[in-house]
Amino acid sequence: MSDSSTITTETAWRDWKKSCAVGRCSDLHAAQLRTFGSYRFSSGLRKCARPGLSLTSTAPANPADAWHMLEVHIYIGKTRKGKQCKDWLFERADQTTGDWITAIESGASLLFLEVVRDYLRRELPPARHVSLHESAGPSGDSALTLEDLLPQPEPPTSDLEEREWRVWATALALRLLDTLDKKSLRILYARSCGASLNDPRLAKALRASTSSIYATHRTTLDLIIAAVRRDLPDDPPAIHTHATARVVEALVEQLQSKKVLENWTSPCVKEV
Amino acid sequence: MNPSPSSTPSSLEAQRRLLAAWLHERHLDITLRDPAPPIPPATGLRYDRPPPATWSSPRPGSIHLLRPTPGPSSWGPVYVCLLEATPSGIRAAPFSRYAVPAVPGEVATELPHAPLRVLCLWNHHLIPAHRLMPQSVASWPARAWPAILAYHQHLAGKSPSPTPRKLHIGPPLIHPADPRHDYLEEERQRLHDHIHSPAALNHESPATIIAFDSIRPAWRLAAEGRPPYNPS
Repeated sequence: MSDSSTITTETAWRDWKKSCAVGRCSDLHAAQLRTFGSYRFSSGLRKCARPGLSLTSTAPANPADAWHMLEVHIYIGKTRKGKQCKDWLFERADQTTGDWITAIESGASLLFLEVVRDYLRRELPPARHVSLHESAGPSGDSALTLEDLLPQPEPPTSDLEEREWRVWATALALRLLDTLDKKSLRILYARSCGASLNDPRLAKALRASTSSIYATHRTTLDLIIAAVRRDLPDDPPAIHTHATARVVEALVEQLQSKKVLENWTSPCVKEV
Repeated sequence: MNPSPSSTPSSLEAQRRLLAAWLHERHLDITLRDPAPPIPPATGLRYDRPPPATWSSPRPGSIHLLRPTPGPSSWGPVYVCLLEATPSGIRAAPFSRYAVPAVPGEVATELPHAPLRVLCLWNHHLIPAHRLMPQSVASWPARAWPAILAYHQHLAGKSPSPTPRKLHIGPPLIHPADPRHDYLEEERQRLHDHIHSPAALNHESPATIIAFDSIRPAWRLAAEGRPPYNPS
């Protein structure tokens, strides 16, 4: 933000708010805003570049295009009331006790993130025909595939089968309780109760950073998935998905009934 | 409570394409995020203003922008669609940041504006009038609104009948390790921050405590669509 904060001035932003579009601002103000927009847009593209894919080559050549895309993205129709996103941006900046320019550029940067994401979504869409075995992870490194995440056309289990599933899931859950540490169980329990792993109160209660909470939750689920696959090595992914969900449910039931989490859960869940 | 067959993505191939598209956008979103944008603290004093005129007669189907979140937040603008007026406030559902519905509780709106492409009915919430920007930015086309409202009531358990019109909804959420769980959590947090931040409440209320009992139904709605594995 520091290098771009010198690009724009408050008068340029006020001019834009008063005018319908940047094209109606004075040349000086329009140039400031377009340069800022171009900088933000290119910065977003660079973040998404990866080996073998030069996203900057697909970027709009004219700096004016980035700002035009912003205006197209945020305007809901052509009337004044459809341009309230401008009011949102200025109200957000007006609330600050700090530097106004920094605040409004920060807000505009948030809007540009949406513009760039939408642009890349259109320019680099996923393949039309997607394999069921496509990784569900962002860079193909996830153990889960689309097949794991989607329900398969399997017939519903009967009551008897369901009871057998429950017995099996509870047995595996009890084994997992011995291997998983308390922090992992607490995080799993918090998530199952609908708590946000991003909640600072959870981080405080666990004395852990948000990123480590997410990582621990991920690792815990990976351990459960691995345990399920070990127990049911010859079954298809649909059964693994069903079994994993059952084991997580059984684990949470165990945590509730046996009070494995001692006195931690009640006050923490109430607080978070 | 499960979505009607008429509104579920028709085939595994359709679900697969939707999910792949959603995961693609999600990956872009995470890649683009700044670690921590420097935003100065807010005073919150500007929130001390009267409710907009629309408060007295909220019109279901009108679309509003929520006032910006004060404090060190990195949320962009949040648009909401007013669903109904209740004695305790206006019930509204936010629009998603993404272009593709993630779960059965999200509906592709087919509205032509980028921020209004997906409505998150699962995330409906009572919103105080003073959190809305003064004017509505748009309204739902009259012919399309009944189907949305019917699906909302269907999700809320008020209407057992299937939706009258085929809606484009997201694929079912069945796996505990599905990345959409994180997204749902973020969306819930995003709306919560806009409604419940101390400055947004004009310092009249203490820091909010999330009542889990009130959250769980919404999560169940979001995660519904698991009939093959959840026989009654």
